[in-house]
Amino acid sequence: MLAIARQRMLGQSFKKILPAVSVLRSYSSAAKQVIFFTFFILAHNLMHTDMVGEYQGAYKITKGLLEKYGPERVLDTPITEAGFTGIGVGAAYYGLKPVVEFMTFNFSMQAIDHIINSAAKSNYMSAGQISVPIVFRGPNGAAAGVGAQHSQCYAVWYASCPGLKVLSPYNSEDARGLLKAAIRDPDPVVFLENELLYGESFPVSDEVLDSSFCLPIGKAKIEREGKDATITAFSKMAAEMLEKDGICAEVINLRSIRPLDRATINASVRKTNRLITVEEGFPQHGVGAEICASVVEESFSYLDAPVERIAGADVPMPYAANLERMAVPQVEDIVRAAKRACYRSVPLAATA
Amino acid sequence: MASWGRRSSGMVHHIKALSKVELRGKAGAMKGGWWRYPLQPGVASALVPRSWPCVNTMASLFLVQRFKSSLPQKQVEDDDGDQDLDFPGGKVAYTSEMKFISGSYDKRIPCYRVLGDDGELIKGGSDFEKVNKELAVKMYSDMVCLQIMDTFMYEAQRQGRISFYMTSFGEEAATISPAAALTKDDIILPQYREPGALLWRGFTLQEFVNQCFGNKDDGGKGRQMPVHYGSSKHNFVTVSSPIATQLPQAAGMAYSLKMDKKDACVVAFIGDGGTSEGDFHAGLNFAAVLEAPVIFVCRNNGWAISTPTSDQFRSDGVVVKGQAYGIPSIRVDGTDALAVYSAIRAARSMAINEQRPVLVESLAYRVGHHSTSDDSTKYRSLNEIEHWKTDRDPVNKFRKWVELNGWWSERDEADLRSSIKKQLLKAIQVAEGTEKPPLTELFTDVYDLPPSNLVEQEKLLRQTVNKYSHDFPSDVSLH
Repeated sequence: MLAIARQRMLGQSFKKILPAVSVLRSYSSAAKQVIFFTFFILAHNLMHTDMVGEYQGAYKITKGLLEKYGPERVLDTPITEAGFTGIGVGAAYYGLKPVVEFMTFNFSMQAIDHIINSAAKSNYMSAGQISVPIVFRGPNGAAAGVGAQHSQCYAVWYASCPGLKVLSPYNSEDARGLLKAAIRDPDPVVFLENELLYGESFPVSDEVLDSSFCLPIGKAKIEREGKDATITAFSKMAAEMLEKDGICAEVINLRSIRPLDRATINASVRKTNRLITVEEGFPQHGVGAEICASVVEESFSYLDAPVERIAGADVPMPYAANLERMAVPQVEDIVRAAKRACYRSVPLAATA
Repeated sequence: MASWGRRSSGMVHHIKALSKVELRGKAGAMKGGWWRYPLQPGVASALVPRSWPCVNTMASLFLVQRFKSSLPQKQVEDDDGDQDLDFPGGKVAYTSEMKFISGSYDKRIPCYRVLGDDGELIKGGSDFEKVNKELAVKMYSDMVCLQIMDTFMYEAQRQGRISFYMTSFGEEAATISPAAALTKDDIILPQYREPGALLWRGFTLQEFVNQCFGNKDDGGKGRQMPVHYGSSKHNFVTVSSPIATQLPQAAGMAYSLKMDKKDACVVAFIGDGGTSEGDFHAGLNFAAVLEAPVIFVCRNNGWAISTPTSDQFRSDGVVVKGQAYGIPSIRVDGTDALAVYSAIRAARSMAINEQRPVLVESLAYRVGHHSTSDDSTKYRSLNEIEHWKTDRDPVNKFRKWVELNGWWSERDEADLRSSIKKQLLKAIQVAEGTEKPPLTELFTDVYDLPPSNLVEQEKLLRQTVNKYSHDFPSDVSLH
């Protein structure tokens, strides 16, 4: 019978993982390695090996955990997001550290009451008597060819709620460090992964491979330093940015949507004087809107150009491949925006 | 005095009505039902590895279910496999007769009770758990206390001293008896009409009143509306408010208790209206699949605000819903303190020893309005309310029984009532005069540690309050 570690025993049960044979680690295996150390996982269809679309979804992450830790700690649940999120929250009330997996965050809509009212607000509403150390994870945002009901980005839905923390990793290093931080954190955390990134490999340092590697929540990372413009991005969008060149842009990988690292963003804008925010989700009330407001409030006089927001099209995601491509920001869109911000091309208004 | 007799047959007798349901084939023989009270209540159950879904679980509703969390019973009967359908979920016999299981039966599930309306033990009935003087007097006193507190606090709301209140009139026994039947280690997840349970566990009148006034002594730090009590000290989870959210949570907490192998269970309350929520289905189904030690107590009080049960569901109340999930269930008279006590004692034993959920439907009419925002005379007759208020009052009924035992007198009654009234008036006076929570509490507990933006915001707010103190109420302490 597996010992169930309490919150306090968290540190002791982390063991050293496999020695680094290769320095490449895939995004999904990085996440999986962290989950090996979690205590309680809830997801349905754990044994399922394929899913909607070609990308095998979230299952690769939890594969192997059931065999290793047994059905008591890795639960294959009936299909009710509201149900298994509710019981996860209940278990967290009692003292376990559950990790609840959604096949995609689109399905978390059926459980959002438990995420917001039962998890996020509980510590406050109970005056500190009920702490909820739970992690909700799963793929978020657009995949490929999965239609509107499987493609929405929920970063802002959750990031608007006090009491929640919202994280979004870009590469393997992020996946590993942030997920560990999320599980260790005593507050409820929404961990937004990206389905298309599961299969990608990224180079990682030895430090990342160390079993105690953990990233701080609330700190963004400057993926690339620059001086002409600041580009903020998270999750898959960051990948696009690194390929772009021409303008020496400073690319900030947000990592943490809530709390947002306003200090890093503002410091960068004060250096470059121009800002382009990039996200996959819908434009209205998006992450870019919040970053723009923050920069306008704190660094207004440093801005030499209006803030450019790049976001997905303000439509439910269409299925047809050509339409889908048009609905999601492409590298070219960001390049054009960066050029506008640097006055190397005609501003949008002048073309109207 | 009736003693705790014949455990198994007594309880089963009430449930045998279900055996009238049409049984299918050889495999349908009902061997005394799956609600048989364990004969060895002390046996601890070993934790089972979760079985594959296709093993043991019912293909037919009426097969004998295992009583303990042991390995699933093999189906012994038929050797001629071609007469049975071997299907995921288990073997099920075929039939050539096309017959639908009826949606309802002429005879409804009977309601278990111990006391008659006159407060006397029912003749011939002896199937209940004995209650000694000390316990009975505490139960009765708490029921009276709850009734008086409700009366005073309802009035306080009407006078504008608090913003909102919900009474438990008619349901005093339905909430105090379960608490009396549990231990302090059992975790209670209320809906919102169970202050009786919290009262039993030792929450003081002052604490109740402080919460309603939302002052700085409120254990809830003024975060919640009145009657949204919570106390981790008393194992009473803070009232969440949205209906039925506590049911899946209860299954999760019970699963955690099970992992800990604690001699404790979870008790989740829900109303008749709450059984329509999606969370009811999820919670009960999960608890059954996880084999979690949770007691679901449905306080069927006949009304979900203004919706009568006839508009809520078309089943025979709530008790029959348990069977759909594979959960043993009982219907009990919620105005009968002894019946509720016995049923919960038995349910608790079943839940813990057999590591399984149990459903208890308690019938007790909601005498009061839904809340202070409701006027129930708009949708039900005064006669109906009056009848339940006077002729079927659970407090009166129990008092008669306690008096018949020689454990209570008129003098005791007068003393108790005057004492409670005095304490309550004092508590209200004190609560009203106490300051509201300090400014700090606006910003604490959002997260485990205050985030930088809130620290900064609090600092800025203090500066503003200090600078423009005339714009802010004087009863908000800055400390």
